[in-house]
Amino acid sequence: MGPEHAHAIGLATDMAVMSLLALSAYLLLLAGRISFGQQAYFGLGAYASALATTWAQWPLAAALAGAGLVGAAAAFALALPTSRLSGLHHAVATLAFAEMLRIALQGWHWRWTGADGAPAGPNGIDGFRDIRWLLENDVSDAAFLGLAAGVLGAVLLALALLWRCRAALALRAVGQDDTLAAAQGTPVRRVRLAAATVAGAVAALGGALYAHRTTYIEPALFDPMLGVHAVGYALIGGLGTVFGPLLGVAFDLGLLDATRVFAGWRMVVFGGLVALFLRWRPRGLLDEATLDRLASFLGRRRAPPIAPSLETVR
Amino acid sequence: MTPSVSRRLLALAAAAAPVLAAAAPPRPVVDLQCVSLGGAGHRLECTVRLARPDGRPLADAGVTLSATMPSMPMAHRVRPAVAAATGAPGEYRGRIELEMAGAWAVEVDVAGPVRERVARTLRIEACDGDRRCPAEPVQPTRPAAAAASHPH
Amino acid sequence: MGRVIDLLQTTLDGLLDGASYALVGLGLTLTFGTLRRLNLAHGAVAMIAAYAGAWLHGRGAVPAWGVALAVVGVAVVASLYVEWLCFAPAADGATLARGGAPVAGADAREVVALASSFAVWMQLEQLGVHLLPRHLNAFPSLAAETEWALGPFALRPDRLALALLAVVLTAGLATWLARTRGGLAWRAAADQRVAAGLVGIGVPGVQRMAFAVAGALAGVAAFAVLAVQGQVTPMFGMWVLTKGLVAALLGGLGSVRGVLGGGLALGVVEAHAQGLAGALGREFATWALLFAVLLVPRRRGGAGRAHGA
Repeated sequence: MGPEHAHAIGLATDMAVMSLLALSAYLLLLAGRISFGQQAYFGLGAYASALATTWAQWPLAAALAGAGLVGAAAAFALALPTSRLSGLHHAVATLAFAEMLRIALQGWHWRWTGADGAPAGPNGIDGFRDIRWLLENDVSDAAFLGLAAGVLGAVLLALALLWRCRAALALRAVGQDDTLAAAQGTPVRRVRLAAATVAGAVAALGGALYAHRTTYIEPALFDPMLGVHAVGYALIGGLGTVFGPLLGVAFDLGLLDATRVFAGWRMVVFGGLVALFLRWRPRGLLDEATLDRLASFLGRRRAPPIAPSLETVR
Repeated sequence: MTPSVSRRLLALAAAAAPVLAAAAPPRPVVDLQCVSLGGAGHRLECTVRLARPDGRPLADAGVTLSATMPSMPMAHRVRPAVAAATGAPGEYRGRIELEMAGAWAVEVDVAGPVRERVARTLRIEACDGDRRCPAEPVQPTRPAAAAASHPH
Repeated sequence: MGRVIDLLQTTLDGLLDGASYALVGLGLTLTFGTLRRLNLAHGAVAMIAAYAGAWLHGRGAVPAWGVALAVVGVAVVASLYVEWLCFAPAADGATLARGGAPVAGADAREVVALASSFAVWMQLEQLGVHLLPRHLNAFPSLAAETEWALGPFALRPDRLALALLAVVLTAGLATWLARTRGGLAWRAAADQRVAAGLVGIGVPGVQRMAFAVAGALAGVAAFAVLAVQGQVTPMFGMWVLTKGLVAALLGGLGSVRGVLGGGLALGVVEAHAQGLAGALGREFATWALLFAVLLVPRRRGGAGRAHGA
């Protein structure tokens, strides 16, 4: 397998993993809250799954599930006090929580001796190395890409199914105007808690996949820039559909980064685009208006009711 | 699943751990030395020395080099480069191109005969002219730069 | 007795550090006070200004005051750029009227400001890193050679000067806002944007002035802090934003006197946390304090006005 092939597989896996994190930020944006702390659950998922496969010797599937649960639990615990905070305070509070977690991980040492005699386990600032489940079970990078894509697909499917029920309407209603939603009887707090919990689980899944692909993780990976980028992807890609965050990720990692056109200036371009979008297209590329137009163009070509009368007038 | 069943499964998995680990192939010892090359861009030339656990050099391995930036993990993706055998037993050398200076985690991926993947975090600084500047490993015991009271 | 001396010395060190936090937080609290929106690019503005200064210093033959002027100048320009791209009032009204905003309702403007200012933060940081790729960059050093002894306590005169600068600037700014007509115009524009416009206060101009002054303050703070350090790294932007934000939030966002109190409190808490739990404990304490303050339910007296602005 040549390096170009490896590059493409690595890029695709990164996009799948980052999409999970972007989806996590997107879910909270739908609920009307901006979170700069989703990287905390990404990190928790990474560490939890690494512990599961190295210390507890669980298979990867179980480790992924466990990581998702850890992420969900932590997100739920944080959302309990923070869901009542408004925009700015919520953003800063989630950032503070994520930073506290990152600093705590910098000080966490739990070493044991692995089967081959070498020390293993989280080692503070140096991080958690030798997460070798994929290597020990001889899973190729291409197969792992399939797994990551499968996890992403499963999450998208689950969200798409949820979209059909009233939960999704309630979520969007809460995001648009929570006072009105509360007046109509929607349990606003419960909806926000649910959105935060699911977002935490999704981010943790991404972290678990990331940890196993690179075989090492360190606290420095889960810094604010990661969470900020996730929010950026959701904002650029569009808040109208679950594919919005994916589009944002593909745009940044795929177009801007991989094409090397803006080598070294990627963040300048990306940052500028986010700021410009927020001025002229605040709900991103795939916003609700665009989706409506797409839908009417593709499918439901109902003639508007006013048209026949105009024709008769002419 | 009742707690007692899951506990039993956990115990079983833990008991199977030494069996599973023993079945895994022995890990090669990886030594990585990188130097920044002077001139435009941030090119890094890395020399990888592979050895079996008993000390014998590991020849005919497929070694690929890549790098990622810890502070922004999935951006700044570096095109992987093959590290070709230099002729010395167990020694492979390759060059990768980095987008900027800073702390980079250089990844060594060994494809065959044994699979291994390790990463070492190195500080890459800009190198002037024709010099070759060795890249120092980032000391793991030092607290993170931002932790200090001073803004550095 | 020695233990008490140690504690007092730690508190003194904390107060001096805290004054520099208040200094970097002044610009942030000023823009929040006039707009009710948080400018996350504040740290990046300070960072790129500092990097411009370090670049000039690296060229050689530029005296320290020249570097200081350059730092302040670049900070003002960068701050005006942030204002134009992220906070310009015309864009706000148009997009929100069209019914599109990433987060609707009363939060909308806040979130738009947060999101676009973090985007500019990314931009400015990368620009700075391109200017000076190295990790450690020399900055004109005005550090003191010796330490003063004040009884049993040690005191560095350069850090004391920094603290005094913070107090003077805070007092000056507070007086300007409270006593002068210009300050009155700012406060009017902050409280009641539309009414202020109706009585003839040019609100967009006031907003631009606020950002220019905030930029200048960020530049002065950056120069002062880094002159004591003697070097600047890419972490500087995040440091300015973190400390400034916590100091400003502790004292109440928008309050100029508050940011001084908040900064001093933060400095003391950090110093004692470091004594108890080292460098990691110090960093953790910053965020833990911020988190605790945010979670305490407050009487939201200003909330009504914030929505109107």
